[in-house]
Amino acid sequence: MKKIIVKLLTFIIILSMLTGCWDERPFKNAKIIVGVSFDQGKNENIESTVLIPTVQGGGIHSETEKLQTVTTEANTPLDVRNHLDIMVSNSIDPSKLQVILLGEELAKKDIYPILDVFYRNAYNNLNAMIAITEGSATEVINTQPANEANQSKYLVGIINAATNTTLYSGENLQMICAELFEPGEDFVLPYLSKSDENNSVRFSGLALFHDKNFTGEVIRHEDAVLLTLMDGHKGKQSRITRQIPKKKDYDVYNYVTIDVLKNKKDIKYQLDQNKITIDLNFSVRILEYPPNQLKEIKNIKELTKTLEEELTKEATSIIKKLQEANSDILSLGRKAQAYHYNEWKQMNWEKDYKNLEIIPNVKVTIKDIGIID
Amino acid sequence: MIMKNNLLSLNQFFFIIIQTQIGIGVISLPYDLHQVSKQNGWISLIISIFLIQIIILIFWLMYNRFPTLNLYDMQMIIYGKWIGQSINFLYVLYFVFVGSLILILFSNLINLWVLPHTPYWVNMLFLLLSCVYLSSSHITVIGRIYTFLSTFFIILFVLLLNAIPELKIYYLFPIAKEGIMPILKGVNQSVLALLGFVVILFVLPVVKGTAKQKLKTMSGAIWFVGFFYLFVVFISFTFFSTEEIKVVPQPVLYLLKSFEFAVVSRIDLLFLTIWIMSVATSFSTFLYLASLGTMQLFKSKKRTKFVWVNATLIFLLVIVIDSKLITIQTYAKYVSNSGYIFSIALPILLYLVMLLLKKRHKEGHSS
Repeated sequence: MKKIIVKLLTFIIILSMLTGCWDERPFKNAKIIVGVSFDQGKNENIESTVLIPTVQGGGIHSETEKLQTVTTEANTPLDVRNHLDIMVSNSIDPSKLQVILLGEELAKKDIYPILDVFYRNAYNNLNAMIAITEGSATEVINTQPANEANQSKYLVGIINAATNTTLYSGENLQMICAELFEPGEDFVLPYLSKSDENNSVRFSGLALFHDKNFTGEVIRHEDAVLLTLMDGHKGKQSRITRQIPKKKDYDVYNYVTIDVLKNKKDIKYQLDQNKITIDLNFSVRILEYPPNQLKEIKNIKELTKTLEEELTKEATSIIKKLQEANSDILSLGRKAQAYHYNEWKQMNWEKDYKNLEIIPNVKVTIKDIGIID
Repeated sequence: MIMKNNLLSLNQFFFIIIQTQIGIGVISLPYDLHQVSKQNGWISLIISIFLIQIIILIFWLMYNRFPTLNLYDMQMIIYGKWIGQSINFLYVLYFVFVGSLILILFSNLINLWVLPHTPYWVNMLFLLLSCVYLSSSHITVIGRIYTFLSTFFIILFVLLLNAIPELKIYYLFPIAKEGIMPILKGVNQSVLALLGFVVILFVLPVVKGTAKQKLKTMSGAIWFVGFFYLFVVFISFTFFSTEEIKVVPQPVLYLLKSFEFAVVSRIDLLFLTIWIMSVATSFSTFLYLASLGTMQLFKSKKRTKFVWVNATLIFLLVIVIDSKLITIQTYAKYVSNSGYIFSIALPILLYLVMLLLKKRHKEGHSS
C-alpha cells in the first residue's frame, strides 16, 4: 500500500513538472509573420511592412486564408516589432518567417544592421529567403496577383522556381551569412521587380553585393544561369538558349537550347602576372535544335564550337561586370588566400581585384541530343 | 568480492568512456578552437588525441600494477592513509566542481536556445534529479544505459551530414599561416574538451576481459571521440567562414538551425534533445565518481546516500556561483584547467611514485 502511494505521488509530481508553464507560446496569443519588407524611410529610419496570415472560417472546406499587411516606420528592425505590437492584437512572432525583402535604396547601405536581429534570436527562422527589390520593397510585398492567395508563398515560389532553373543558387538567410562576413568573398541575392501590366512580381536578375552593400549592379536574368553555374551551383534544370550562325531565314530556326547536366570548374592562378584562368567544363544535353542535323559528327563539332565561343564571350562580359562592381562572387579572393597565400599577401585584393585579368574558358561536351537526330 | 556478473563488459566500458567525454563541450568546441588557433584548430585536435593516447597508456600501466584497485584505492596504498585520503578528498571536490560547471553551462544553453523564460534552477533540477537516479544504480546498469543511449550518436551524425553540400573546403586554408604557436595553444583547448577520460582509472578494475583487450577498448574509445570531434570541427569550420565563426559561440546548433526538413523545421532543437542525454551521461559519471570517493572517505557501503549528498552539494554550489560571486567564464576556466591536475598531473605523479617505490599488487605480477 505504502509503495503504491509513493509511486502515485511521484507520478503526480512528475506530471505537474511536465507542463512547462514559463515558456509556452500558444498559437492563439501570437501573430505569426510570414513575410517582411524593409525600405529606406523618409527621416533616416526604416519603413517596414509585414505579412500576417489569419485563418478565417471553420470546417474542412470553408477555411480561407487571408493576409493582413501592416506598414510602419521605426529606427531598427526590432523597433519595428515594438511599433507593430501596439498596432495589432496579440504580439508579433517572427519564428515562421519565410521571406525578407530589402528595398534597393536601403540595400545600398549596409544590410547587416537589418539582418542582425534575425541572426541573433534563437527563435528566428534562418531558413527564410531574402531578396532585393527594384524600387520600393513595400510595393513588391503588397503585390498580389489575382490567382495567388498568399503573397509570401508567391514570393518564395518565385525564388524557388529560380533556384530550380539555376537562375539563383537558392541560398537562404544563413547561407549568405558566411559570405557576408568573410572578406574576399561576395554573394548575390535575387533581384525582384514589380511588373505593372498584370500586377505581378518577376525575377529580373541577380543583385551583386560587395562586402555588406548592394553595389547597384544587376546581372540580367538571361545571364543569371551562367553566373550561377560559374559559382558552382546547379538547380534541377539549367536551360540556356543561344543564337547560332544563321541557317534559315525563318528566325526561330537559328537558336539552340541546351540543358547543362554537369558543370566542373577549375581555377588557375598566375597572380605574379595578375592573371586568373577559369576553366569551365559543361556536359550538356540538346533540348531544342530545329535545324535537325545532328546525325553527323561534323555538325556536332561545329555546334559545340559555336556554343563554346558564345558562352565564353558571355562569361567574359559577366566577369567584367563583376569586376566593375568590385563584387567577388566566385570567391576568387578567399581561394587565392587559401591556396596562394604568399602571392595574395603581396597584393591588396580589395583594390587589385578590379585590375586582374580574369579569363574564362568554357568547354562544352554534348552528351545527349534527345531521341531524334 | 567482485562477482562475475557485476562486471562491465568491454562494450559497456567503451561506451562509458565516450559518453563521459562527449558532453557539454561538443557544441562549442569548434568556436573555442577557432578562437585560439583559427582554421588550424583541427590540427591541434589531432595532436591532442595523440597526447591523450599516451596518457591512457600510462593509466593502463598503472592498472597492470594494481589490477583490482581503482584510483582512490591506489592512492590510499601508495601515499598512505593521510596523504591518500586528502588527495582523494581533492578528487571528490574536483568532481563536484565539474558537475556544477556542467549544470551551469547546460542551463545557460537551454535558457539561450530553448526556454528563455524558465528559471535556471528548474532546468538544473530536472537534469540533476534524473542523473541522481541514474548514478545511484550499479555501474553495470550505468554501463547498459550508456550503451543504449549511444545509439543516438548515429542521429547526431546523420543530422550533421546535412551540411555537406554547403561545405567549402577552402575555408580550412591556408594551413598554419600564423606559425606553430596558435596550433599549440589550440591543443590546450582540445585537451579540455576531451577531459573525462580519467573515468578509465576508476572503472578499469570492474571490467571483464584481459589487460590487452581493455587497452584496445579504451584506445578505441578515445579515437572514436577524437574522430567525432574532428568531424564536428571540420563541418563547422567549412560551413562557417573564418570571420563568421568568430561571432557564433554554438556553431553546431547554428548550423543545424539553417536547415529544414519536411516534418521537423527546427533541427537544432532535435539535436539539442539528443545532446541533453550526452550531458546527462557525463554529469552522471562525475556524480558517480564523486559518490565513490565520499564512500571511500567515510568508509561506508551505502553509495546511494552519498549520491544524494553530492548532488545537494553541487546544487548549492551552483546557486552560490550564480549569485555572481565570480563570472561563469572565470569559473569555467578554473575548473577546466584544474582538469590538467586531476586527469593528467596527479595520475602521472602517482605512476612515478609507483615506479620509484617499486610497488606492485601483492599477489604478484598478474597480467
